[in-house]
Amino acid sequence: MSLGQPSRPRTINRWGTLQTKIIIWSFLPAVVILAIVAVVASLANDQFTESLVIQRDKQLIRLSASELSNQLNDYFDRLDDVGRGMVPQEPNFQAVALEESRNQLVIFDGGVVVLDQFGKVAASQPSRPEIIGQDWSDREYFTNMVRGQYSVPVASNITKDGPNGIDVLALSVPILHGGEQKFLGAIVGMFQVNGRSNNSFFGEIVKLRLGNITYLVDNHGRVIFHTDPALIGQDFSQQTIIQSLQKGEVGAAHTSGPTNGADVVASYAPVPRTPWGLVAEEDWNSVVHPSKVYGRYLLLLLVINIIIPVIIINAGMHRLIKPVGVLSAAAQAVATGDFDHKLEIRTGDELEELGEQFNRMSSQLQAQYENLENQVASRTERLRVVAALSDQLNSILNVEELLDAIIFQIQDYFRYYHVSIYLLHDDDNMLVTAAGTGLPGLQMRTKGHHIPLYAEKSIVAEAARTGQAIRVDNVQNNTIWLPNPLLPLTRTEIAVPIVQAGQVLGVLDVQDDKVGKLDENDATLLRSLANHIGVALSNARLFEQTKLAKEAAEAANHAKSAFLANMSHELRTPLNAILGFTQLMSRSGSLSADQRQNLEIISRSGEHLLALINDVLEMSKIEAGRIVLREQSFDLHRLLSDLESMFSLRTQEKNLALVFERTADVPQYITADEGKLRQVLINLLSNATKFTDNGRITLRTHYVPAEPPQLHFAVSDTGAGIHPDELGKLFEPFVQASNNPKKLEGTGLGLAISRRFARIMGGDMTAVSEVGKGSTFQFHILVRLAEADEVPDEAPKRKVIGLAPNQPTYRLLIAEDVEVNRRLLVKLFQPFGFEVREATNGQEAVQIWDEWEPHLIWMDMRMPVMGGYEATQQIKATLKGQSTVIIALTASAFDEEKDSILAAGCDAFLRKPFREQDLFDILAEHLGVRFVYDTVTGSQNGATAVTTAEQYTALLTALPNPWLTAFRTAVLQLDLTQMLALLDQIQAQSPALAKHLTELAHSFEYDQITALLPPQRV
Amino acid sequence: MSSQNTLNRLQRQLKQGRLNRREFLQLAGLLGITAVTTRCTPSETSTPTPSTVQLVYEDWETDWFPGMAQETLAQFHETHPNIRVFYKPDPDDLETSMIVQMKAGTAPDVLQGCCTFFPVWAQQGQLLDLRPYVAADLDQETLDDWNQAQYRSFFTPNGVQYGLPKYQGALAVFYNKDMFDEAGLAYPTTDWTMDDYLTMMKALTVRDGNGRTTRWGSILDVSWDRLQIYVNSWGGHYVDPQDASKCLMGAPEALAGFQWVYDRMWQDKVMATALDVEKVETRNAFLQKKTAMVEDGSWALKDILANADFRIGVAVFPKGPVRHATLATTDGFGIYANTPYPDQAWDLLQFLISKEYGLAMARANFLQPARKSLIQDWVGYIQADYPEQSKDVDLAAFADGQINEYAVTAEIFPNITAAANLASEAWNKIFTLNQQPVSSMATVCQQIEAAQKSS
Repeated sequence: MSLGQPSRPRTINRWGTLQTKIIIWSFLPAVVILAIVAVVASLANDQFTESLVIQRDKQLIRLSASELSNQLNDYFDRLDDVGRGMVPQEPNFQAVALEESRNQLVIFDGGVVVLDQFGKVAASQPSRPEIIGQDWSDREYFTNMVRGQYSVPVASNITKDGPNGIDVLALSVPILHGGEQKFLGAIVGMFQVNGRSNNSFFGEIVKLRLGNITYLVDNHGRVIFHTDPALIGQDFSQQTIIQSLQKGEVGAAHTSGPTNGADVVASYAPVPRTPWGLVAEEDWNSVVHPSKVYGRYLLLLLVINIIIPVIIINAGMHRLIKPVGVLSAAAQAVATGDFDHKLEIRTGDELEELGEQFNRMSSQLQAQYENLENQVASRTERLRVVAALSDQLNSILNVEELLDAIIFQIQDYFRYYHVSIYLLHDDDNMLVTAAGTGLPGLQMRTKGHHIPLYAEKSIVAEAARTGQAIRVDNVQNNTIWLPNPLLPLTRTEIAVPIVQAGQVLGVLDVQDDKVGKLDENDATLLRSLANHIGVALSNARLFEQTKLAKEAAEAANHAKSAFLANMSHELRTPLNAILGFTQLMSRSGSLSADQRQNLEIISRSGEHLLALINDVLEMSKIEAGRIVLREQSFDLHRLLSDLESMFSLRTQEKNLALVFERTADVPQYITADEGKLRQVLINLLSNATKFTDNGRITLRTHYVPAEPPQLHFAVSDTGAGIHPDELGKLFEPFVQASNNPKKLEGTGLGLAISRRFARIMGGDMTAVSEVGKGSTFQFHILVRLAEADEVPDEAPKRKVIGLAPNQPTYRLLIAEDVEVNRRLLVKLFQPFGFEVREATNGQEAVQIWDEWEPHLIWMDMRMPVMGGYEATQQIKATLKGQSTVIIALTASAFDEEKDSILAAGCDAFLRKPFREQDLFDILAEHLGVRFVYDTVTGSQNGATAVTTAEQYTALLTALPNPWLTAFRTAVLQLDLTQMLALLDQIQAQSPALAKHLTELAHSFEYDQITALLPPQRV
Repeated sequence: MSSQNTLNRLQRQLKQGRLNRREFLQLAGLLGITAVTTRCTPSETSTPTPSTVQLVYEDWETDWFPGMAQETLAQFHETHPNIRVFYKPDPDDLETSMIVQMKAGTAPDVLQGCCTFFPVWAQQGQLLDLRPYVAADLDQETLDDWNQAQYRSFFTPNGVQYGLPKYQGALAVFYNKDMFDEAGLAYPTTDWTMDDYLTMMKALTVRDGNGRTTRWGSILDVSWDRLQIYVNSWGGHYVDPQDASKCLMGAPEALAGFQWVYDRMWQDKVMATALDVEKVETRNAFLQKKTAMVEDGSWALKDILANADFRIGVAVFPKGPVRHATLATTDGFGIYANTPYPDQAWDLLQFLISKEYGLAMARANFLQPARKSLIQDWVGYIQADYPEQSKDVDLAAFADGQINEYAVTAEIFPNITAAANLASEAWNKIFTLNQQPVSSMATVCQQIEAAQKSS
């Protein structure tokens, strides 16, 4: 048994158990109290220890001083024994006595002397003849003895009575003789006081083992003995302890060591019967170490005091809590649906009773749960069906299929007698059978079974009208039920309206063959299904509408593309002829000036028309998403320089200043779409030049070293400016500023194209302007830095004037259906010595190719009978055809056509209208034809090198119109003087041009000069 | 004994590989506790060894010893510049004052002891166990150079080695050759017996007309070890060799030995009691010619040679009816257990047991060297200083027991203090005062055993 998705039993962590909590709360007070006791005991222990140590050391130093005093008795006795052995009647009895006791006195390493009753030195051991007879009656060990009535031995301070005057300590005892104890003098034993002496008296001090440092000082504060031998003899009188000693005080203190500043307990006491003081310094840590160890043991005991009861109580609690754990586990088992888990608690107490109650509760829960589970299973199944059905409905977007799927799925899942769907037709208020199960359903649909919306006897119509589900448990008892002869077994029926967005779309009708079989659960289910059907139906209808709209849009787009393609072809084809023949005619040197002027007009108009077409096509391509970014590496500096040259003449003509500024970090070589960049810049500069009558035009370029790098351009002018209302629409196609007097020139697409190009190149374009002050158009693009060797060499543009000698006669076939275009090419190539034949369609081209085997075919791709594609494929399909070069000619505006052309087998691609230079370049490239060029090379004064006639023409074009008119007139009138005068005027501005024209003038080559002149401006 | 001492002892045993399982567990437990307490210890608190260690060495206060000691210690200071030794003469009440000093912590670092009190100090834990040091630093040749009986005497019943031999105090019999010649007696030979001794004592005893003895054949110091020789000679022991707490003074063999001495004093009156010689020391009684012989040791040789106005002879101790025995005294050097500098004290003790120090003592006062290898040097010193007096002295008699290994040392009970006091009191009544029979030693023996159990 399972509850399906039971809540996961909560895991109680170790510290959250009842057992742990009881133990913690039981012992928390004890732990707190014990911790307080530990802290207090520790503090008290420290204080008590310090007090105890000080008291101990005080007593110890007192006892040690006393012990040291007692030890002196041995030495006094030893001296006294010698004194008592003296026999005064004998001569030199003092010396004799000392000699006899020599071995006994050897322990006095400072020697022994005997003073007579007047204090004069009478004898010494070892022998010191120099002191015999000296008066030592002023010695303290003698005077004190005399003062003390000879009753006590005397210990001295440090004195210099030792051998050779060294420091010694003197112990003296009186020599008393006879029963009357007559004073005969004193016997004085001396110990050396220095770090080298190992006398036994020092041993007495060492034996005391008082501390790390022990020392003995005399009454003057001088050190008699010190643990550190180097300090023996030093003066310690300034130390506080010594001063206390000199006052006879006994004491101990925890302090910084008087000797070395260490943390010590220093104790001191006077040595009884002597003028000495004994001091001991003991390292504090070593003193309190036992106490600290004791403290640690105490702490250990406290911890044990907690741990052991915790262990014992833990064990006891475990026994007590275990049934609770069993109960908890059982509760968790029940929570997870395991009702078979029965408790076995035999504790004989309340827990056992609780266990029995739990088992009873578990049984009751099990019974209730099984009932609930059945209900849930049924509902879950219905919901699952609804969900599955909903998923399926959402995936079907055809209305008919959708409705069929709905009824058959419902029938399949729930086994109703009959299921049908009626759709409401708004136009005639009819509920028409749209789908139905079984044969009756099919018949109803094919026969167009329908129910008027306002039929009185129809629960389907009733449901549609009221927007409410109608359930009839027994149709026999229902007054509005309408029998259907196709469904004779119907006994119960539910009609549920299909509503979407408040609008009744139809009715879902379900019938069954048992009275009362359709209950409220079915009604609820069908209502839910009807909602889903409404949504799906709505979606399907919407999809169908959208599909139709899309198809219409695609058709329109296709028509537009076809129109553009046709327009491209149809416009460019005649334009090709116009421009081509104009160029051909221009080559003739026999034209009159008037004719030449007419040709120029034709050519310029053609060029203008081509530019307009190109703009329109460019915009169309952009909108069609057919613009392709063609990146290549190029010399940016040269591009800017070319533009500067190009526009400098125009601006000069209008007396405008042209300024090109670029920051030092603008890279020379970049990779970008040079053509588009050039086009944008030319457009902006052209506009600026066009709309500025005075002032200046500035192009600023700067580099932003971002990732990827950026180039920013700004073209500023001092023209009329643009009104703010129009500034926002400036980049829209076919829009020109209203204050622009020259707005009728051009298509109005330039800025739109420019901004689109800037965006295509990864940047954008903006404009700021102020009426009367001028405008600034700025844009940026993304570039990549390039190296010089990545930039392809640009071949100089040269004018072909003939074929080089010693070449074969090349055969060229021109396949072109438009005669003028054919004639144009024939007239272009034949004068150079090429053999040329013509074909008007692909089929003819293939035939001529097969017979004549031309070296190269100029193939128009769009021709009647057989197009260029098919003709190319047939030719290239043969082995012979592999050696024939086929160059495609197309008037298509779309770049993507190039791919299909090359795929057909063409070797190259040339778009109409073409320039003759491009045609010659192709012949040179693919056939290896060598031409003779009209070449002008060299440069002077750093001026731009001029190499071709076109460039001279371009330079002339840039010159001011009045100058051009005057020069043209001078040429036509063969007025050499005037020509030279005019050429002199442009010497500074364009030295190469001036030089070349001057040379031609001097050679009377007026035709060539005329050929170079640009078409006369209108 | 403190845990630290126990730890030290166990660690030394561990070094020697002589730990049983129980001791090993004890050591492990102590190490564990030490580790716990050490981990809690913020800093090392043991006394650091200073650059120069100061040691106190106490030894005899006899008139010749201090000079000899200070002079000889100069050699030690030369070889041990970081150890400074202060020699200090023993106090008069060495036996009692030393134990007080030991318990007060003011005992000298290195000391000498003998007789019954030396083992008492050891039994009370006041002397350092020398076994680790001996094992580490002394070679077998050195160990073999000592009389083994004397060497073994410095071990307590539970195995602690508390001392090393200072000198060989061998008991012998000094005799007055003039008196022997006067009595027409042959001098004692190396194989004489107790019967021979008795005969000679009788022959040399002189009594006046009132029957009052004016000269006794011999005299002995009624003390623990001197009487023990008689017990041993009769085959007995004070202490059961198998059980140190069991007293055998009441055994027939012991009683026979005691009885023989008692009979000589009170039955034959050929051996003087302390009262007979008015409590004059036995050596002085001999020098004062109150006795013809005296049982004394090699330690008395110089005193006797220097002060005797008669010709001296020395005989080995007479052989008893059961075995030949003589006393090897147990004078030795030890180290105070609580010295802060045990290693340096051991350095000093090694010097004191060296041949140099032994020869110094032999040269200064004819102290018989504990090392066998120095016997000839010792003899040489005597003969050099007293060529005439020592000319006919059989100095080898002192070394005979040492060489032939019949010398014995004092037998020691675990509670020797109680035993010595009980025995001394009894012997005073038996031998000096003649107030109770020898058989009373059986009761004394029971009291001694009881004292062992109660200690």
